[in-house]
Amino acid sequence: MVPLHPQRVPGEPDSLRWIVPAGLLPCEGLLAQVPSALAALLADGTLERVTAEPAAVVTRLGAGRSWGRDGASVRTALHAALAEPAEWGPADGKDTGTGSRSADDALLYAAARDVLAGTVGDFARSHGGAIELVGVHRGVVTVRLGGACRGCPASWLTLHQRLERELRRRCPGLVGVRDTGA
Amino acid sequence: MSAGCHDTGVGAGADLVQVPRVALVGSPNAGKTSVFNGLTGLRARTGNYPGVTVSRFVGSCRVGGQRYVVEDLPGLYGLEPVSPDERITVDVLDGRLEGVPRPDAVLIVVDATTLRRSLGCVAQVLGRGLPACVVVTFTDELARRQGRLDVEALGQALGVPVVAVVGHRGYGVSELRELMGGWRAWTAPALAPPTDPAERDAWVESVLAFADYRAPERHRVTRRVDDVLLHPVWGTLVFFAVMVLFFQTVFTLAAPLQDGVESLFARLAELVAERVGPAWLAGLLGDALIGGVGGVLVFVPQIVLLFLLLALLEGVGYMARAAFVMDRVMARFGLEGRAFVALLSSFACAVPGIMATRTLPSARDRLATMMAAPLMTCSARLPVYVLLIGLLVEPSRKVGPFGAQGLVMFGLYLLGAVSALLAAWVFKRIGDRRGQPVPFYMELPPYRLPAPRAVLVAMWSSARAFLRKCSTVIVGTAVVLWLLLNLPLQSTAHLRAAGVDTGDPVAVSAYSVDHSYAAGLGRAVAPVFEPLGFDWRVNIGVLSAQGARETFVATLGQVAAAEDPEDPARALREMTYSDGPRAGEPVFTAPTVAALLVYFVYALQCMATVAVLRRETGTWRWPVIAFSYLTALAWVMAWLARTVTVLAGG
Amino acid sequence: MGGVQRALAELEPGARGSVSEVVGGEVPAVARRLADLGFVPGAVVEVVRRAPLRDPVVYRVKDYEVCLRRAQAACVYVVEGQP
Repeated sequence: MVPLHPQRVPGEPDSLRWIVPAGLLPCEGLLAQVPSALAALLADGTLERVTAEPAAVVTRLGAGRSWGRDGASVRTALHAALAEPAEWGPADGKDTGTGSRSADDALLYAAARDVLAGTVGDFARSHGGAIELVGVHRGVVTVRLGGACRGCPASWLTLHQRLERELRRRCPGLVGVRDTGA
Repeated sequence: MSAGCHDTGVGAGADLVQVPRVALVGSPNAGKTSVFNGLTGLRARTGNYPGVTVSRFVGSCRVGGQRYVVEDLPGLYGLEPVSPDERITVDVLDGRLEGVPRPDAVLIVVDATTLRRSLGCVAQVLGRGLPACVVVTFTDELARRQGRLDVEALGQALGVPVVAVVGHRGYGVSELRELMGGWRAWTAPALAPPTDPAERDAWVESVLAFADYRAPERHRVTRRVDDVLLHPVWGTLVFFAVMVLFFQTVFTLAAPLQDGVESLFARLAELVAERVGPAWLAGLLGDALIGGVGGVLVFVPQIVLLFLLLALLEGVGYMARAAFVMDRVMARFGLEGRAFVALLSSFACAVPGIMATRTLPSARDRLATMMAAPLMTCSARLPVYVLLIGLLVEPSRKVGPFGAQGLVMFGLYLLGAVSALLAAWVFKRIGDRRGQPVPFYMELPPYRLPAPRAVLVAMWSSARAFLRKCSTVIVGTAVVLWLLLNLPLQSTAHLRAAGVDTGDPVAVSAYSVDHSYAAGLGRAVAPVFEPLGFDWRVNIGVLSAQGARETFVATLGQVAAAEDPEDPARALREMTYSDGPRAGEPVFTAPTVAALLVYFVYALQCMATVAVLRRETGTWRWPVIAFSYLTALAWVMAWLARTVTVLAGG
Repeated sequence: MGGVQRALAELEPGARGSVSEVVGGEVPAVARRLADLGFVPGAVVEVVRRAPLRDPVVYRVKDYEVCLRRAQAACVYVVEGQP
């Protein structure tokens, strides 16, 4: 059985991010083709959509569904579906094995936005600081430190230890995190 | 308010409604107790869960202005209970235990070094839906053994707050307190962890990978030491060496210290005799207090040493190995290795022995061990044995290279131990007729250098319990006894009328004692003990020893001193039956002494043991059973010993 | 897999295997408890050492050490030789 566990997606209570081993799925982005177990849940409205990330699968519930009631069946379906990684296919029919660099950057951008809205951003805010996402280019994430973070010697630690580790976990293709002010 | 509440003496009625209740859950070795102590500052109220042999620890802690009731639930490995202790934990978590309210929040304590196994239990507890926070312990040991864990990422993966606490260092406790203050705002997992075992396993692996977990290396020192200590040959030798050392320390090392205490009290008694004016006051102080208590305090060095050794062996981790080595032997008597540790502790005192049975997961094993523990030769029996063996065997007599006195002492220890094992076997057989057996499993903790403070605290708390016993039960008994022996006061006229030479203090005192209240009491119970050959003075000794065995020595000392203040030792040796069919014959003949010794091997003459049995089992049923069966057994075995000695021509 | 299934109790110290099945016999509590202790299908078990009297035996499973008696170890079936 593929190791997997769910985490909340900040700001999106209807979505769950299922952490799976990096590199398991052959594709990234919104999925059109999924194995039958998951396809059944998409068909009966339990799930609205399924998105693949380099080290996670994000599932979004259909209208009127709840994780308390439907979560366990989504998990069981995911386990069944992840046993057949070859059956997963992206919306545009392209295999990301040949995917463009800009597609990777877009995913990285989404992940960085997520992380900054979530735990790492919370950490900065709890210390009176702010981290703003500037952009992503060729696997390098650029951020700007604001508030109490600016010039704070601990910010380097925060950036590199928390943000980078968190991002690399989701997007193993991350090259690095850079601060505009640095 | 249900009846169970005041039963346990835990919390006032109003508290149960307003004060948030936080429960600690986790596996037995996860360090729950040190987290509990860190939060509550050792101020635990102990009691029992209503109607079961499971002890309950409740304390309270204050965060900001808010008081919290903290309850340390019995350890468990999973929420499908196999033992009564685990059933309690599950019932409390589900709010199904009458008299114990459901906790408002739980702290799940996990050992960072066994995280891969422990997360299964965490998954089950999180599935119960109570607000939860995970407390990770032993992170220092994880790091020392080249493991690693990202505590923050673990919290993210689990979806609940996670805090690292190193209990014995106090690290993380203030963070935990702060976290507890905001328990209403704790995040809950978006989705409860899976219940299917295979899916749960996948969940655990995924959470561990996300938290960047690396399991600790096997403890290299432990492995090397175990290669020797658990070796078929060396391990057995070391085991016996440790046992020999254990008793050697107790008997040899303590001897000079004991002599010191003894001479101190002798000096004190002399001082009292010289300086204190009124004869009755000198008698009370010298005979009752100094004689009685001193006779017992002599054993303090020995007891302190015993407890020090037990605390050291436990702290280092050897006790778990001793249990491991002895498990097969204990299995023959229906018990398991941990029962051996409890019985070994009972050599010091049955009270810590009975408390050590808490480590036994099976309630039936626990009860059987508790019923057997009072039979182990505790240190309180020692003074009695020393006195009686002195009356039975000449110090110079030898059997081969061994002193005969020592051999008799060894025989008594052996008799106690064998009887304890047989008693445990019988109780286990009775208990096993109903219910399923609990499978045996035991963790072997890595060897650790125990913190000196923890060892000293353990030793001191045991020694303090003994000293308290001396200062209450024994002083009380000694004073009451002194009064009983010296009242009513005999007037000179009365003495003359009875034909006593009032000029001879020995004769006066002998007459007074023989007509005292104590004599009346001793004669009243004579029919019971007559078949054992006890005279009324011995009966008084046995009765007074009911509270604490050591009192026997003090009592006989008092009686002898009252009869012949000049030379109590001779008075004891030459004591004769004053009335009845055996009048005029010496009391301490071989058959009587043998019967007395055997009586002391079996009888439950210890208020402290009765009290701890009541506390640990939660009912009066078990102390009553223990008292009845041991007293009956004592009488029968003493009678047998007397009969056999008479037949052998003793 | 494809190895031969043997009872854990039959393995010699030093041997390793992966759990294939845990049977409770007449007592369901045994299988449940063994699962809670980490003896679940797929888990890697190593026989660490025997007690001087040959029983019980220490096993390493899920990164920790626990000892079981022969009777309990007989409930766990393993396929030997897993890494």
